[in-house]
Amino acid sequence: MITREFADDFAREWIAAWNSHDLDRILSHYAEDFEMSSPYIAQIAGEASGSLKGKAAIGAYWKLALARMPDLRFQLVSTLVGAQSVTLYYRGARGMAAEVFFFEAGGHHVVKAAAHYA
Amino acid sequence: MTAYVFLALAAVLLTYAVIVYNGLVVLKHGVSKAWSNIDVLLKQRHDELPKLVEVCKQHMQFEAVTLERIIAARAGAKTAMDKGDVKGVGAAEGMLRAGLGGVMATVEAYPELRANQSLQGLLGRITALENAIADRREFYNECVNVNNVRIEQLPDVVIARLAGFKAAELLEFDEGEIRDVDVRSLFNDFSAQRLERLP
Repeated sequence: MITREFADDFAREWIAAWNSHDLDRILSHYAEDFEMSSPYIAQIAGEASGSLKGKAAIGAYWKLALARMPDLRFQLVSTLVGAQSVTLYYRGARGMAAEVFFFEAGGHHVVKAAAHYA
Repeated sequence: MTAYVFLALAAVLLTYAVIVYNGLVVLKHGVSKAWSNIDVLLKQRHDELPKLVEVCKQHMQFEAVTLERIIAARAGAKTAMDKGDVKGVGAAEGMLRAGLGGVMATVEAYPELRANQSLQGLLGRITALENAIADRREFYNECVNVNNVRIEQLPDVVIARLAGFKAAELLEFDEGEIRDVDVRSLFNDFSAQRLERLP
C-alpha cells in the first residue's frame, strides 16, 4: 500500500527532478521498462497508441521536451493517494495537468504513468 | 570448489550479457519504429504533392521549373525510401522542402492563386504534415543517438560487436538545398491549424 508519507516524498522529489531539468534524475523514479502514456506522445513521436515503453524511448522523448521548454517549471497543487498509485495534480508548462503513477508491488519505482492535460 | 566459483561467475556473466543484448534489441526496434512513424507521414505528404502540382499547373504564370523540381525530388525521396536509404531520404527531402518553399513563395506573389480554395486546403494539409514530420524526425534522431551511444559504450560495445549491432543513421535534411528559402516560416504562414509543438 502507498502511504501518505511516501506519496508526499515522491511528489516533492518528482517535481524537483523536472524543475532541475536533469533527465537522469527524472528517470531515476521509473523502472527500466516502464510505460508512459500522453496525448503528446502520439503527436511528437507518432505512436498512435500515445504510449512509449522503456527508459531509452521515453528518455529520448523527454529529452526533446526539456530542450523545447528551457523555462519548464512544474508547481505542485495536490497529491492524491491510491492503493498502488499516486496522482499528482500540478501546474505545468501548458496549464493544469494530472499524472497518475502506478508503482511496482513492494517497490518505489513507477511501472506505468499516464499524463492528462487540461 | 573452484569449479563452482567459475560456474557461478560464468552464469552471472551470461545473464549480464543477455540483459545487455536484450537492451540493445529494444533500442534497435525503437529506432525502426521511430523510422516507420516518419515513413508513414512522408508517404502521406508525397501523395499530396501531385495534387498540388496539378492545381498550380492550371495557372499559366506559374514557374514550371519549381514544379519540376518538386516532382524530381519526390521521385528521389520515394526511391530512397524504398531502399531504406536514410541519407538519400534526407537529401531528397531537403530538395523537396526547398521546392515546396519555392511554391509557397511564388503563391504569395499571385493573389488569385492564393485565394484558390483547393490550393489552400492542400497547403494546409502539407503544412500540418510538414510540422508532424519535423517532430517525428527529432524523435527519430534522438532514438538514433541513444542507440549509437549505447553500442559504443563499454561494456555494451562488446556485446554489440559480437552480435553485429550497427550504428543507425541520422535523418538530416540537406540544409544546402534549403538555405535560400526560409521554409519553416513559409510553412508556418500557411499553417491555419498548426500543431502545437510542446510535449
